[in-house]
Amino acid sequence: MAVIELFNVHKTYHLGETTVKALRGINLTIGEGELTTVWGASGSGKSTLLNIIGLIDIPTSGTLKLNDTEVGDMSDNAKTDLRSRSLGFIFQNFNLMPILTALENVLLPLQIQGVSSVQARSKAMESLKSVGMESFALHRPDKLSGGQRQRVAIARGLVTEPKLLICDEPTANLDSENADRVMDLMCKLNDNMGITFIFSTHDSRLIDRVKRIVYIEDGVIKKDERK
Amino acid sequence: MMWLTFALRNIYKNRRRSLATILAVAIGFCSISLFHGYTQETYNGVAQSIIHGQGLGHLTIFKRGFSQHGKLESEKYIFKQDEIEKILKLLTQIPGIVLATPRLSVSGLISNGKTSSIFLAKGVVPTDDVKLRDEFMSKGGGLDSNHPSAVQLASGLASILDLKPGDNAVIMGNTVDGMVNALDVDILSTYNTGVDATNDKYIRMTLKHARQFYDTKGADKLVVLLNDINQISSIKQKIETLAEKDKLDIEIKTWDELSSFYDQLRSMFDMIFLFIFIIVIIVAVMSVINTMSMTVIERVREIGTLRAIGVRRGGIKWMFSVEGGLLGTIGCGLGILLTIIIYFLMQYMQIKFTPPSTTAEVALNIQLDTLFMLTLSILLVLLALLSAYFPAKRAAKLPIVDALGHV
Repeated sequence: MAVIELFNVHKTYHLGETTVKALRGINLTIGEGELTTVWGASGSGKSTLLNIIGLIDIPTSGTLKLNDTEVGDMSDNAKTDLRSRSLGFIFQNFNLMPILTALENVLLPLQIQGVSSVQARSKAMESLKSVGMESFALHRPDKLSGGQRQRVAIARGLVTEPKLLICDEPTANLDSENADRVMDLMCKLNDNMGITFIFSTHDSRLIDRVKRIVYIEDGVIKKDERK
Repeated sequence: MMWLTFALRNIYKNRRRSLATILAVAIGFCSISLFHGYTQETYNGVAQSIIHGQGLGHLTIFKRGFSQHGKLESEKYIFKQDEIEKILKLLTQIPGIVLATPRLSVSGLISNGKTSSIFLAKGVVPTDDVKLRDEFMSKGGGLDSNHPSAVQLASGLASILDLKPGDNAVIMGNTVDGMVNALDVDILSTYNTGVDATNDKYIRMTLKHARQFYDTKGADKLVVLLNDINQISSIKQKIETLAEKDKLDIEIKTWDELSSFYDQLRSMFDMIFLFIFIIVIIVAVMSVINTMSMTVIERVREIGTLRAIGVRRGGIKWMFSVEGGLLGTIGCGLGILLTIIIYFLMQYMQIKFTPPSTTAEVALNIQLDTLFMLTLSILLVLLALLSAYFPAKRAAKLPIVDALGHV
């Protein structure tokens, strides 16, 4: 079953008098349990594509279906609720709340969903455990290394058991050792838990480790390669 | 609960900036509370001094028309003896009245044998006057029923005429029939009216002597003292109803209707209070707006992240509003504490001052009005919440992608 379906998606930005065509007729289907990377150079349109899939940006034209539901006409609140229920995000800069501990950061999506405090706490601990960060539960982000922060961010993304985890350049701010660890973790979660991943990268070290590579250039999918 | 934790931690994170805002709210709260407490104490003090000190009582009963024409044709508006008795009998039917006493105001010239000066006098029943003036009774004590010609002179008038207790003087004036009359008076004591404008004119004398001076057995008013100041309007209404039944043609004035000074003072203080209130509120609100605007600017990426992981626009508005409201709440809490500390300090220090146009020192007291402080707290917290709402609304409107890309 397809988790994401994009039909002829275009995205055009207007920067003053300049018009930037970030996406030009994207057609893409991602099935359940896939580990897909969107690979391309800086400015190729991969982040825009992930933002549209993550419902945090709106396509200029085209159709986007998430779990067979068209999302184009949804209200902002409906999209927000859908993000909360079905999507998880991992950002390049980790985007953890600096005032919260690792555990509280992971708790946050559950609290937004209104999950009871006891249940949320145990789920968050479980999630931290799955990324090997349980012993750092009470540490604030500024006391963690880049790799540890990204693992906490992955735990936060996973805690709501989303249908799809969207990762925008998750290893861009990590050294190669930490990038490998994060990649190992994503592959393990994909293999063991069947979580669907889509992540953007221009890091050639990661190419060999994914099952599907979507090559994007100037807003157009040039190649869609499955291994 | 989640937003409360967020708010508290962010307030602590930006503690220096938060402290400045909290102090602005606290100092504003404290200034408004203290000034309100001072005005309330002043209104109370002035009311007591008018009702008891000046002997106006809570209600004064006149013949109808006295307030309009009584000053020019006072003889026409003097109650006769039987009218006074009828009114006094009527007043005994109404509970809540402590005292009803006849009065006669007289005026004329007072002379020490060498020089003379004008005077205004109140003829009072000495025993009733003691009850009415209570703690406001001058140090020398009250008038003496057994010594009707004894008078109490305002200290300024005594000084002009060089009169001391034990001296004699002569008062001269017209009777109600227009005949010239003169009487001897014995200076019993002097007293300070507290106001420059009256301290060189006033005399207190017995009703008996005033009646003799005006050659009448009547009185131009009856002063009524009540148990409770809050019952003024209900008792006034009852007297009017009973008087109408008994066909008594009277008019009743309350103490504040007879004292233009009280009204003027109240209007002036109310205006000053409003002015201070507006300035302080503007400062507090601007401080919260400034803090919250800076907070929003600093947390744009955080807003983007929260929106991305499922917080609705309303949630973002609520998050910042809670933070603003919390700043207001902490500020008000500190403001209450400051107000209480200053209140006890003032009680301890017993600061005194001489108000304008008065001759006596008064204590600088304030009242702690808990209901006012509670209302002010609610108002300031709501304003702080509202002040944070507008920067929050702006934050909630930010496109998520832009917010996430914000550096």
